Amino acid sequence: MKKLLILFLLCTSFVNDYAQEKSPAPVRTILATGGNFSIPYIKYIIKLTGKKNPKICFMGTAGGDNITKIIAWYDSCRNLPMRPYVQKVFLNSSPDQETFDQKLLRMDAIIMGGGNTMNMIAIWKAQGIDTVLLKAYKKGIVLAGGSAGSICWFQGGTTDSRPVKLSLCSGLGFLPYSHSPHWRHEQLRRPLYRDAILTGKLNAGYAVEDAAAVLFQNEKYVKSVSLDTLNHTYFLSVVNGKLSEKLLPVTEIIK
Amino acid sequence: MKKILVLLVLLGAVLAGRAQNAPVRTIFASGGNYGKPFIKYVIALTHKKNPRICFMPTPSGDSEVAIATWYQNCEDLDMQPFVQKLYVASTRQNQTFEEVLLSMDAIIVGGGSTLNAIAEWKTHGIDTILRKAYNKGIVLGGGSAGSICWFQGGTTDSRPVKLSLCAGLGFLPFSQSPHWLKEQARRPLYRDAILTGKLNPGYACDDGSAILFENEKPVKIVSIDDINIPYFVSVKDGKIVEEPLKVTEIIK
Repeated sequence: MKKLLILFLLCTSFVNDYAQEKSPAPVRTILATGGNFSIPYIKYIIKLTGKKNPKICFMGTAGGDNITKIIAWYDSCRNLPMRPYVQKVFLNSSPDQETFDQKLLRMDAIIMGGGNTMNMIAIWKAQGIDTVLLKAYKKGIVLAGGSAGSICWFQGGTTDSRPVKLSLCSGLGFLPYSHSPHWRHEQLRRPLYRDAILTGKLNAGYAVEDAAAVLFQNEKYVKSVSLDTLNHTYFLSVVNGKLSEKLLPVTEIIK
Repeated sequence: MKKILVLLVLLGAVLAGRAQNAPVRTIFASGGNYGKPFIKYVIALTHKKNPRICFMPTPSGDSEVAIATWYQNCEDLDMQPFVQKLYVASTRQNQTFEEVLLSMDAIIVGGGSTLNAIAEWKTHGIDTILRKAYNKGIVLGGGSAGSICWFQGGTTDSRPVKLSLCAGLGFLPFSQSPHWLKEQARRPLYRDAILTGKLNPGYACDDGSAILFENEKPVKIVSIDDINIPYFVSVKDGKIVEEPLKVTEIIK
């Protein structure tokens, strides 16, 4: 009887292994917009999750958990086929909370708000959230955001996080490229970003105008989308010692 | 002639050094609340008329409520209130953190998340600027997260679910636990951390009490009443000892 039981257990574990091999590996997905993360993009994220009524969590770390931004997020989500969540980082520990791990890893997508990239990355590292987000990414939880909320996924980018002048900052490096948001709307970023790529301070990367976005799957550029025909995306790299700025055609207008 | 000149310059330097006392490194740390009585006390500590005092709401993520409360508390006080935010943008602030902070007579840090505040300061190099300010004699103060930050470390509610320990900037070689009376859950954690050597011996403060440190030494214990007092918590003969400290001044 005991032997039969062991045989049965072995059988089931083999079947399990087989099933796991057959189930496709999760697709690592990031959608980076050039500016504000508006309702059409939230709808686009809902589609990317491939789920019915997905759980989508907003993190306002880059805005210091600014309450106005948090309310704007909840307002934007009204009437959308999804369930909105918020994960704050300025909190008072209490036993009724979940850990960052518990809450973030049960989401279908995580969207980062804009603001101060440097403060956000520093807080995430202090709280161990950088590790949680990497786990989420590998698990196939869709990651997204605009401005500070997009720079964070890249190796680094241009930032207004410091006083006085624009500068460079590091991101979490899930994508091995650099990024510059607000490409058309904040012209001062252009010379800084071009120079940083030319001199090797930043990797080659993606410059995105406010209403446009770039989609990555498994660290590969998939396509550019936009809210209109005026906002574009570009790939900047060094070719034969010179800076090349290649227009990436928008293949989908999202509404 | 040249030798005489050198001698004169040397003599001058010595005299100037004597006349100008070395700045007193000053920290005024409270257990929680840092309202009007504490701000008034800081004004007196600067020994200046109409001193420039800067509030840093970093631990609250630059909470607008905390900033408004600060300005309101400063009404009618003989001082000039300033605020240095951390959620800045290069387009909105044209002075460096160093320029702003080192032009102050006192810097008061607000309450909130110690862990986040220290991480943000380090990423911007503000830890170094605050150290310069401290060495220059700019009075440093604050309650709760705004006091833990000056110590080696302390107890914090910065992380989800439960209280934990966190590191401060270490300007004072002690630990600190705020809200001693009000948040009893801090007590076993703090006592255990000191007993096991995870934290240095240090000061547990009730909300309305504060300790004045000069050149890293406690010189005065103050409180808003006779209920709120600080304690010195240390290990004696392998046991934890909580020694109540005598309040020498009630502040209003």
